[in-house]
Amino acid sequence: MRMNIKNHKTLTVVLSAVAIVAVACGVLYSYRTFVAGSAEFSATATSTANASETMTVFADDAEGYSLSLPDDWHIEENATSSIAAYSSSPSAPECKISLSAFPAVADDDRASWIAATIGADPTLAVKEDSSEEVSVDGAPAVRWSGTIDGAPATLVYAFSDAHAYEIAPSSMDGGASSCADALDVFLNGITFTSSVLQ
Amino acid sequence: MRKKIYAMGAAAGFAIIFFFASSRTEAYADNFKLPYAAGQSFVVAQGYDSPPTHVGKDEYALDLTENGCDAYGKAAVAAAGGRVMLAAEEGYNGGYGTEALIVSDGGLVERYAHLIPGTIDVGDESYVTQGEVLGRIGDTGLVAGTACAAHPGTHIHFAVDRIMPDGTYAAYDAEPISGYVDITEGHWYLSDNAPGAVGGNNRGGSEESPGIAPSTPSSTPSVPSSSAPGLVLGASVEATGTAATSSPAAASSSDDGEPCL
Repeated sequence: MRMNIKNHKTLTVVLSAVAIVAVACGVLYSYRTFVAGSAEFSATATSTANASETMTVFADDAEGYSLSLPDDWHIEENATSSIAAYSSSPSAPECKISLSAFPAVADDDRASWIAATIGADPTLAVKEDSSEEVSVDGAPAVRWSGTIDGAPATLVYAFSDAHAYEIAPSSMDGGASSCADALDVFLNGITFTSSVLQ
Repeated sequence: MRKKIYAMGAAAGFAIIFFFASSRTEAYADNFKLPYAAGQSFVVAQGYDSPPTHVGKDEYALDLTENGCDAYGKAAVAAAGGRVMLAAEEGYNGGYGTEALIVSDGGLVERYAHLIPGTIDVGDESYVTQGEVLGRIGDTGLVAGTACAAHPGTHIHFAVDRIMPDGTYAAYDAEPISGYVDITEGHWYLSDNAPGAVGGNNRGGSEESPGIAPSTPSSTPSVPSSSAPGLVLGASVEATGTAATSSPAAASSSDDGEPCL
């Protein structure tokens, strides 16, 4: 096929423009700006300690909780109201139980809040097997069982006036199911407290 | 004349191909950096495709830490820029504990897990840039380990997921990361992830060893009094092309695998 001179020039101009735009876009796309972040941090968390006596952790000024656990348990605090309790030695725990405190949840919203909390991470595949109403230190609670990303999981959510608490047992050896006894010990050892009353 | 036109057309075609190829590279693999601050060396405590936890969408996950409790409280920094998909300050989160998810251009999601509650410095839906501090490395969620008695299992879990067309998430091989390929359990890796840095480690050579981790971790190795196995204690790391031999007191991955999510 033959092209006349005018078409040749037009084609040349178009192709050249495309090339220039493509290269320019590549350069712009590769360009990045960066923001400096703080590099220092003062860890305020405390080390694990034997749970040899009742330990009180205040979630905030309004209310908190205390734990009374067997001597061979260890408790790890951090800068917030969250804690981790280790049955037996933290080096080889039978079970790790994490407790996280969240703002209070209205009675009618508990079911949806639990679903939203468990599924907050959108990458997780969550499947509920059961959801049972229970009581923790007299407070209404829900014991949730199911699988998360295929792994068995048991989570307990307790609701006090000032907070919602998530209690999560975990174990490398046998999943949450191997923590059943430890979870019962933990739940029996927790007491919700009010600083106002003290 | 016709040859000249053909040549120019070919040049334009190459330019277009180069643009799209470089765009994909920028959005994907070549741009990731290690998720801790430049100048620090961490060891891979648990590497790719290692059960029970680094499977499925975590097949290409890396658990990174230092000796003893050295990693605890250190900054977790963005491996790539993007939008904060989730900043979970509290909670179990399926075993990931306190975590941040960053979604990058191209539909990749980076996970920074087991951070310390209350330390996440970024908010949901905010945008972060590579090297920006996201939070502090901790031990929340499903972790285990003996190296750090005060905070058992301290490490950062870093993984990249690809969002699939059906909305599920699949493992994504993010290498090279800071220029490293074939990242291996038990080896140390030096980060070049500083705000404003570009490109990966210079794999062409450095004073210590060609583009690889230093012979001694940047932090002072600490050896706990306990002799429990774990991330710490005495085991030397095999020298390879991507990581250098550690000092006798430096950490390595333990034989027990230091399992963690």
